[in-house]
Parts: sequence; C-alpha cells; structure tokens
Amino acid sequence: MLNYIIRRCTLNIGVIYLVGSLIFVLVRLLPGSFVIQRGGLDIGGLTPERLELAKAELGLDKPVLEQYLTYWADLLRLDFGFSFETRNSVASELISAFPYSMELGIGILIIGLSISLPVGVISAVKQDQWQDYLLRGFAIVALSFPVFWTAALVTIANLNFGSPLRLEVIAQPHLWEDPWAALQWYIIPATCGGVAGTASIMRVLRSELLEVLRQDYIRTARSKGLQERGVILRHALQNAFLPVLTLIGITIAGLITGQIVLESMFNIPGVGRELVEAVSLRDYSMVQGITLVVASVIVFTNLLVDISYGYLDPRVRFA
Amino acid sequence: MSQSADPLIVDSISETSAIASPFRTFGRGLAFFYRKKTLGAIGLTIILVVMILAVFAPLFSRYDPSFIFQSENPNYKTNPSIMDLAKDSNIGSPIIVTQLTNPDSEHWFGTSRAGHDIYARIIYGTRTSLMVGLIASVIAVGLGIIVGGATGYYLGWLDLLVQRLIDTLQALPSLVLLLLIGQTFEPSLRNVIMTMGVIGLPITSRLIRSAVLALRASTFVEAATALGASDSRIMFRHVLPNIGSVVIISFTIGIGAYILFEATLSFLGVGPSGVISWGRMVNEGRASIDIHPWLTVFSGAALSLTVVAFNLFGDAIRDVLDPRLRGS
Repeated sequence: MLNYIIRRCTLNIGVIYLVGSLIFVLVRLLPGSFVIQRGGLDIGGLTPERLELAKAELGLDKPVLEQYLTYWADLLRLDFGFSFETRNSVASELISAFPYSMELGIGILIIGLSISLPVGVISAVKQDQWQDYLLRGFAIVALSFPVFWTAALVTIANLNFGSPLRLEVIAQPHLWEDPWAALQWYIIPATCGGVAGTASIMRVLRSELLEVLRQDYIRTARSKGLQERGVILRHALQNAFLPVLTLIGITIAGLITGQIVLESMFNIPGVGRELVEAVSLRDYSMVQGITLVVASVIVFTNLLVDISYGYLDPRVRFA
Repeated sequence: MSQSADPLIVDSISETSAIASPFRTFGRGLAFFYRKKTLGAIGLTIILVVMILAVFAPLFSRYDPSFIFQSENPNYKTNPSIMDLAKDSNIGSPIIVTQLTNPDSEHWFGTSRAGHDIYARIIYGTRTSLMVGLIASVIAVGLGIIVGGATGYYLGWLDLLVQRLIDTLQALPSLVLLLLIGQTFEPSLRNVIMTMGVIGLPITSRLIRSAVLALRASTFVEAATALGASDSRIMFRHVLPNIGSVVIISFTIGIGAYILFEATLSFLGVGPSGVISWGRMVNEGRASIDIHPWLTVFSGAALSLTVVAFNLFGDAIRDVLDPRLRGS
C-alpha cells in the first residue's frame, strides 16, 4: 500500500512537471504580450524605451531558458510569482478567487447530488417502467442542453416574469458575509450547473445498482424477509456506491477549480473567470499559477479517490 | 419466417439471400433498430433531418444568411435637429437596418441586431455543428486507435511514457487548453476541430487501450502468437476487427460532446472565426435579451435538439453493440 502511494505520488509529480512546462511554453506561444496589451493604453503610447522598461520590470527581457529555470526555482519554493495586471502575488489572487468558485461549486454539488442520487435509485428500482424512461430521458436532456443556454433561458424568464432573484450583484458578497444576498446571487448558476451535472452520476449509479440488484446476496436479503426499502438502501446501495464515489471525487475536483462558463455569465470573480481574463491579458504568471494549482488538485484528487477505494472496498488490491 | 417446419433451413436460406443483398440486411437492421430502440430511432431521425438541412441549406434557408435586411425608416426626417438625433440616432437616414424584429411570416425567427435573418443563420449553423462533431470525433477516435492500440499491445516503457503524457493532457482543463491553442494559432475552423480531436484523445485512447488489453489476454490471440504470427498480423487481423464496437461507440458518443464543446467555445468568444456558430449566436442574443430573446432561444434550441439527438442515438448504438456498457 505504501509502495503504491509512493509510486503514484512520484508519477503525479512527473505529470505536474509536464503540465507546468507545457503551460510555460503555451502561454509564451500566444501572440502579443502583456506589455503590448496593456502598455499601449498608457498615456504617451508605447515607445521602444518604455517597452524595454516594462519588459525588464516583468522579467520578460531575459532569455526564455533563464525564465524557465527561474520559474521552476520559484515554484519549488511554492512561489507562483506576481500577477502582471494587479501586481499582487498570484497566491493572494488565488486565495481571493477560490472561495467564490468553492461556494458555487458546493452549491452545484448539493443541488446535483440531491437530484441525481434519488433519480438514479428510482430509475434502477423501476427498471424499464415509465418512471425509468422518464428519468433517463431527463438525464439525456440534462447531458445535452448546454449550461449557457439553460442559464440564459432562466435569465429570460427572470426578466419577463419578474422574480425576487437578483442577477446583477455589484457587491459580490460571500456566503458568510451576507448569506441572503449571496444565496440570491448563487442560486441560478448553482441550479443550472447542478442540473447539468446530474446526468453522469445518475447514469453510473443506475447501471451499478442494476448490476448489484441481480446478485445472490440481494436475493438472500429479500428471502429472509427484509423490507425492499432496507434491501436497496442498506445492502445494494452500499456496494453500488463505489464507482459513484469515484465520479463524485472527480466532479468535486472540477467544481472547486472553477466553472468558466457560469462564472463568466454571472459575473462571479472565481478561478475560472480569472483564468479567462489572464489568458486574454497575456498575464503569464497568473495563467501558469492557476493551471498548475488546478492540475494539481485534479491529479491528487484522483489519487485520493483511488486510495479511498482500497479502504472502502477490501476486494480492491493495489498492484 | 418463424412459422416454418424446419427453422434451420429457413435460416440458411435467409442467410444466403442476405449475402446476396447487403441492402436488405441493412434495411432489416434499420427496421429492427426502429422497432426496438424507439428513443434511438427518434435521435436518428432528427440527425438525418439535420444532415439534410446542412447539405441542402440553400434550399431551406429562404434567405442568404449574411444578407443584411433593410427597410424604410418610418420616423425619417429630413434635416433633423440635434434634439431629434439625441432621441433617435437613425432619424436622419431614410433606410435603416431591419434589426431585432420579432418572428413573423417574413422572418420566421425574427432578425438579429445586425439585420440578419435568424432562421437562415440557424439553418446554415447546422453545417458548422455537424462538421465539427463528425470530424473532431473521427480525429479523436483515429488517434485513439493508434495510441491506445500501440500502448495496449506493446505495453512496457512506451505505455508508461504515453500514459503519463495522456495524464498531462487530462490534468489540464480542456477549456484552458483550447483557450490557449485557440488564441495561439489562427482560430480557424480547421484548427479548432483538430485541437478538439487531440483533447478527446485521452478518453478514446483509454477506452481502446483497455479493449486491446482484454483482447491481448484472450485465448485466440494466444493461439495466433503460438502459431508464430507477427505482431502486425495479430494487430490487424485479430485485435483491430474485434475493437470495432468500442470504436463505433466512442465515435457516436463523441459527436454530441464535440458539438457542445464547439458551441461552448464560441459562446465564450474563442470558437472558430468566420463561420456561423450556434454557440456564438446564443451569446450575441444575450446583449439584447431583455427586449429580443429570440436569437438566444432559437439558436440554443437548435443546438440542444441536435445534441440530444446525437446522445439518444449514441446511447442506443451502445446498447445494441455492447450491452455490458448499458447506462454507463
């Protein structure tokens, strides 16, 4: 077990190194640069001297190889550098953006799970009956409708039928600061994201549960006179839940690292929106920092999910 | 045909006639599909309609999608005063763009801010979506066969190395990758499609790799190896023909996902430039959503319907070809 964890961690570090190098190259391939995007707007325009000065200030005048080595030397000390745009450290920018993404992500997760878990169970228990067809149809629709369209439809409904929900929030409150205002702000994006995310979890839960329900120990549980409810909730669900847990783990990793579309649409200053802005401004260190953090979260969540698998299911052996 | 004295004979007869006419088996397969997989059949029907619309777009669109409609200005005033111009900046021009009209018999879905006929643009949008979905899925599956086949068959250091590269691709959020690549190269339709195909590689190559791994351990491959067959013979004669269903499944399931992906990119403003895209139309409509929601509503509906159709069809195909994967 320990060997397995060590091996996986080493591989993960290799993957993160590759991600970091890839992103370093990719941002530098982008046409234009921060200095040009921003400097041209200053009074007096962009003279060659000012260009050089600005480049030197951002450390962009050095050879790329030197930039690359400094980049990794800084990263090893967990220093992501500073944002070209705000001149704050990337870490502090991330610390201010993460809570927004997490609040939205948790909202999406709560709504998504509270729909997908019951729906998956009902659809498996009522296999091939009308409830099953209805719910599977719902899953396909949820899977197919683009979240930006459903969110736009909700906006239209909101505008035309008048509702107490506020779409334009200037204050951008956190849940712990002004819970009521924050809830009003998050409810629509969280619902749209949550419904869109139900499909995959529901479908995996359904197929797993169907498989488990055909097994002998379920028949035993039924024949010894247990209530159907107990059979499904206590015996079947427990064993069907593992793959679902994997999926939830991966979903969580994706959620806390930001929802680019929803954050852009609803003006939520989370990680996803920061990233889009950083790319369009050519803010190299922000793009690198965000991508690395996001990739690390995803890679290590996967590891965590795999390890927890072994604890939850003794049948799983690590090679 | 089942009401026969000797079913064996009937079966063999029908089999020979089937060989004689492949169209008959195809037709019968289709009939079976339509009878057994109602939802998949609905999906297939919508897909066929969308394909016909895409191929014969000029016949159905009624107008040129880039034609800017203009009409006489009812409020036209010669020599308007500054006060008039402040109220209505178009008051001085006798002809104005027919913008943001509601659906009527002339413009079935209304007109956009730029004065385009929305219906015509949605019809032409089928071309972009279908092209993106089909070609990106072909690329992803094609690369997946090469990468997944090679790594699953040879294993060893090649597998270890390639799998880590694929992990890297997967750890990078796909939208980030497209955002970066889309802005680095000219965001032409071709470049966006190719990038999306590469981004789909982790999924397809993993599926195909595990299918190849399973086949590698099967007895008939072992038998072929024992007979001294070469690697390429085993791969092309024994392994490849047997991963057909995985290939078809990942291809059909991929199409809807790529269509959605392209629409999301276009919605965010980093999609392919120079083409009519439903995703971009949804976003354009948002600018005047309070007075004119039609552009967003209709383009999003067209997009959603197409993706639903491909997903329904893909699900049905998977159920037919591989019952073990049902519902996953």
